[in-house]
Amino acid sequence: MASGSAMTIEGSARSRTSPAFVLIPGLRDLVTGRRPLGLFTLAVLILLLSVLVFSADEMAEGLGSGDVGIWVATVTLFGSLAFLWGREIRAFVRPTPVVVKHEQVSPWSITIQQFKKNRMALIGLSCMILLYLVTLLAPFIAPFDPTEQDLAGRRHLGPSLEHPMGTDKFGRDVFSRVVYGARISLTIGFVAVGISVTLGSLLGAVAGYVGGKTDNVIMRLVDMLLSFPRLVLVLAVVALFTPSIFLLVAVLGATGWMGTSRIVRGQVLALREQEFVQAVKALGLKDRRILLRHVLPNTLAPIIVAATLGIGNTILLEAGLSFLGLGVQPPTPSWGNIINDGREALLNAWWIATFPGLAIVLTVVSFNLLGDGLRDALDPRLRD
Amino acid sequence: MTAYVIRRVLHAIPLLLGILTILFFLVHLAPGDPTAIYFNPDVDPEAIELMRENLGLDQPLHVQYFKWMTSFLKGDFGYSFGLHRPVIDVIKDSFKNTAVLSLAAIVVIFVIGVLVGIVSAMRQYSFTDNVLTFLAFFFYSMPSFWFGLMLLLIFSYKLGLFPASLAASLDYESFSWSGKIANRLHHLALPALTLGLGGAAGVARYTRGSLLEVIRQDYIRTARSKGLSERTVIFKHALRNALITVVTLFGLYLPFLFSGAVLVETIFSWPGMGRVIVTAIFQRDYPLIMANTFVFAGAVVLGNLLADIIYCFVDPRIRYD
Amino acid sequence: MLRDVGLLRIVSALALAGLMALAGCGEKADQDAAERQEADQGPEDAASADAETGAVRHRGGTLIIGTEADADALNPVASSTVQASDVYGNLFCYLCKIEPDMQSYGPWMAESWEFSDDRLTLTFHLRDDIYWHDGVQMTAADVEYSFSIHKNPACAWSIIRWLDHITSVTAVDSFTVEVKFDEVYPYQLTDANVFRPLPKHLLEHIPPEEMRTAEFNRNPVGNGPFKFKKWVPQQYIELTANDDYFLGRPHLDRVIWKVVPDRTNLLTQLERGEIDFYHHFPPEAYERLSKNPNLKIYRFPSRSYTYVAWNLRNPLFANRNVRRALNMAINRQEIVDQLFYGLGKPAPGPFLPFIWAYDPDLKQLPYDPEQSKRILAEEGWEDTDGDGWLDKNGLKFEFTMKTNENNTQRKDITVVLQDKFEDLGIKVKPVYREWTMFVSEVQGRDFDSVVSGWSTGIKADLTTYWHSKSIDDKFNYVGYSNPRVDELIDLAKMEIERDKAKELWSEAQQIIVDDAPYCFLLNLDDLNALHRRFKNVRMITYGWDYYLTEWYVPEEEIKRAGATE
Repeated sequence: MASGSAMTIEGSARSRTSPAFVLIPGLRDLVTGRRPLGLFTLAVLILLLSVLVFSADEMAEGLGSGDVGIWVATVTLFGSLAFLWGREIRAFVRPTPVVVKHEQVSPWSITIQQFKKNRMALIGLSCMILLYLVTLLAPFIAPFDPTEQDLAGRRHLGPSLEHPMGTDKFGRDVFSRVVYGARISLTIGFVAVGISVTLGSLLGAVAGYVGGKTDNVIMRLVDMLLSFPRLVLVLAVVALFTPSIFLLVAVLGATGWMGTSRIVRGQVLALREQEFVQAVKALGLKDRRILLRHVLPNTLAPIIVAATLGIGNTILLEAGLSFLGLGVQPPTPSWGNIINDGREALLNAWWIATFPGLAIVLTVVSFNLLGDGLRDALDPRLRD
Repeated sequence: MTAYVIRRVLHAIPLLLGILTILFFLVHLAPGDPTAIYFNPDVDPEAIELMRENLGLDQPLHVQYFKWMTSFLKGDFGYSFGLHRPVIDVIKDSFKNTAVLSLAAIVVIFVIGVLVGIVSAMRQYSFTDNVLTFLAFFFYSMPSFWFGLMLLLIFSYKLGLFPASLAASLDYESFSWSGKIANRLHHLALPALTLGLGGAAGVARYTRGSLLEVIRQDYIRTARSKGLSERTVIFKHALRNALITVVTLFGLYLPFLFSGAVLVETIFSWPGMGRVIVTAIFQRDYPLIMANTFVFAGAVVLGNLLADIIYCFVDPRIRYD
Repeated sequence: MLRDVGLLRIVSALALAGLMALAGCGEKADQDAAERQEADQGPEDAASADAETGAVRHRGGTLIIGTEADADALNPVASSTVQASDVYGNLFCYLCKIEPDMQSYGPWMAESWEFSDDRLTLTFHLRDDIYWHDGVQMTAADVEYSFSIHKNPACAWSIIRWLDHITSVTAVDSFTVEVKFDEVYPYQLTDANVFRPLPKHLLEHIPPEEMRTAEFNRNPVGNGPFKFKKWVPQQYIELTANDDYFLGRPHLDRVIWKVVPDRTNLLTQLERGEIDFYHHFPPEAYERLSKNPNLKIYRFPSRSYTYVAWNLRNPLFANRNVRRALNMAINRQEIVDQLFYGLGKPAPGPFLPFIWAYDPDLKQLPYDPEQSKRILAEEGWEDTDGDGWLDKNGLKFEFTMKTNENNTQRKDITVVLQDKFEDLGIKVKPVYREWTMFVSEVQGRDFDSVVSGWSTGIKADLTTYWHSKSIDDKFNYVGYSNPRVDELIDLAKMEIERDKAKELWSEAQQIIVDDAPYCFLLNLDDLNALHRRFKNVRMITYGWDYYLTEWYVPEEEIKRAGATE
């Protein structure tokens, strides 16, 4: 085995001697001293394998009947497993020398390095990954059908082994509903933030780049909308029309772009004067092209941070709306409306309101940790 | 500086008018009929039609808009269909309650937030700091309505320590002066905590970051090298500058405070504007929705203005804008 | 400002300490009644007590009622909410008081009355000892004025239609009122008694268009057993006993309606003794509350029923057999037992048992899902494409079931029905609409099926929902039309002889149930919980407060002031 000189070729030496590592993703990381990553990988592996084993027949049945959810879940399952093993195989086959000191320094790699050092952010990231896995694998993970009722037998049962989060007033398993609710809440969060980030970036970029009257008008609009308590605004729109997921996403997207636009505008204003933009302009490129191809990509970093933090907020907002009855409509489960169901039964069945709330907290904390971590990683002042 | 203030005020007016106009058309173009709250098999459709006439709902939209805008600017907010009272009375009563709740929440946010932030910064990376940071994230990410429900469940329903609704007891009038204050605080405790803790977490993080940044500055090092005690250094020099940014948060937090108030008031049956606007929206009580939203937005704009002015006093650098 | 930081610390510490102290001496539940021994005084004991000495002996006590919504206006002619009618029902009186069996009337403000020979004139003789709460005496002029104001379309009184057949109400002298009708029909007395006399001297100067916004509505003056004391909007309404009530002062001192919009909150306050009475509490709470030693549960059949309405214009429901099949697939008893803990009964039909026109021999559709399946198959509904849902001629058997957002019970029913119909291969999509939208859509006939409810009054009349002339404008929104039923209704409405009318109504009921335009789902019980310390309490279907003036609290159990939360 090569010994410690500055330019070690650790990787190849290790991987050459261990086909076992290929079989069990995670071991390699443990051995090379990356304990958290190793443990995490192992945990995910175990999760995926157990899902595979326990849901084999469900999978077969569902695939046959063309159930979209099951297709997605199956693809996710095998895709993730493929990813894990693929990573091992790659490490095995192409021993990349792990050169320590003389690395190519790109802004991205610095960011990633910083990020990796932030423990909380990593926890956030791993939670987020787990969450999305659970969401995508919902049909396999949820022990019961979230809409399956059993009025006679199973109403208002407390948490137990069979029903880890108890049952609700129709005898439906709360855990399954929470798992499926994750899908709805996360999807809504994702899409709504996607819309608002896109909208905000475009408007902010235009405002910053074009300046003048357009800038003025757009920024006035931003001020106007920001003076509103967002919930009140969203409430007003959603309540006045028919609540539906589509409307919800549209309205959430349309009321969340203001922050992003300000950030982007600031960045664009700063970049506009920089040399590379002047150069490109001198070359005669059209403004639109400049904007899209050159300016925006450089503003990507703060946008990503804003987006990540935004998902957390949007999930909270959607939960609040569903709680009031104006978001996702029952019987489709969403964390917010399960809490609302639980509100009436608070005295008899405290579990219905408690667990979805914990799920929300967990999710939003992950996104916030992630976003915070990204922000810190991107902040040049915190580099040490 | 007065010029600055005046400019900010003038900036705000068209803002509010624009908001109101949009809201007006939105609310009126939405489906659903405000007279539907009188749905009852015995009600004559002619009676309903008459009611619509009485309420002015049968006139064309732009006429309604004009009439409404002019009376609004005169201070006449119209009549609430659902609550059968002049809107101005409804707002007066409920605004008091929301204001009290918001103020209490602000106290919670800033007192707890700043204190925790200071402690966290002073013991950076220690166990305390980690725990406080963790708690901050936890509370920051928590849905306020859920937290309120949990507090209700534990402290009000199960333990019976706090009342679960209203702003004051029924026999409030018969209490002594101190009894009244105690009673009010007793009722305020849970809602204010629910509304404020999330914000407190945010302020704590912000204060911590701000303070840490300030501590690194040269003038702090100078102060230290002068031999001043750590305490004086922190409290007399660092904090002042760190708090500047925290003050601006006050303005930023207002919209969130009011949004939060809607949910918290619903849970605790707190008789404030948040609860009123939710009912109003469900009943399509147009005049009430308009006035209520106007008050919210107005409060936010005013709050920001206030924050700007305070900031102006506190930070000499921006006096010459 | 910086020195303030130290101060801040101290202040916040103090504040925290203060809060803790407050929490410690906060009001806790009043558990005294549980320890007390009391014989459960039924109505028999009280009835034998001397009214005069009883009134003096038992004076005192406050009743706190928990309610989920605030009243809109405390003026019968200007109000449309149930909460308000609860309150003003104790502020104002009618001319006659309906008997507990809801089939005839006894004297109240009118000592006696008689019809003319042709029955077109009804004369009331008022008592001369009735005074408004401000001291002015009530006279026939008040009745005459009240009629005109209730009948004035500018006030838009919600049940103005009931006055259609009354052509005039005149004050013949100070205490005699003459009511004239345009035709003879069974409900003349009921209609003449449908409006509450209001104080002319306080209201006559208000233009009718402004009646809805009058100050009087928030500060009413009546002549009933209780008078208005205070109203803090969205918080509580307080009434106090009227010492000069012409039938004798009620025993209780005060009655307070406390607004608590949240049910769980209401229940908790009830259990902790912060409120004394919760009426129409949800069935889920029944078991909990009946175990509570401080509370007594009063349970009786309610006046309303829940139903599923099929839109007859929809091709799926146009077929009578299909509708019958759908109704037979619903296990109403199971819904009552499972969802509502057995606290009610399946609704029999368009009439509820308390109405005189109800036919106890009414034959209902049985619960028979097998037969449903057969009928559906016979009508051509089969799962031809193997997707699990029935279809016919390419049309899948699926439809929406709408109900209003704010009614949990109805929403629960849609969820259960969705599940049950799935077993038959019928796809149901529950849709919840906010109340005003729901009303708009129902009135606009924009729905497939609807879960809703009707609250029935004391009149036996099926015109509003089942007569074909109600299809276009009124509440026969399913579009039901059966000429024989129309005929029966028209005849029965005018039939003065009870027995003959009963026969006609029996036939009409049966036809309607057989035609199945609705599935008459449930007649839930009216559930009420009252603190034990109130004695001599009787509650009847007509209203929980029918005997309110007779309730009293034994002296040793009267709560001290300040203990009310």
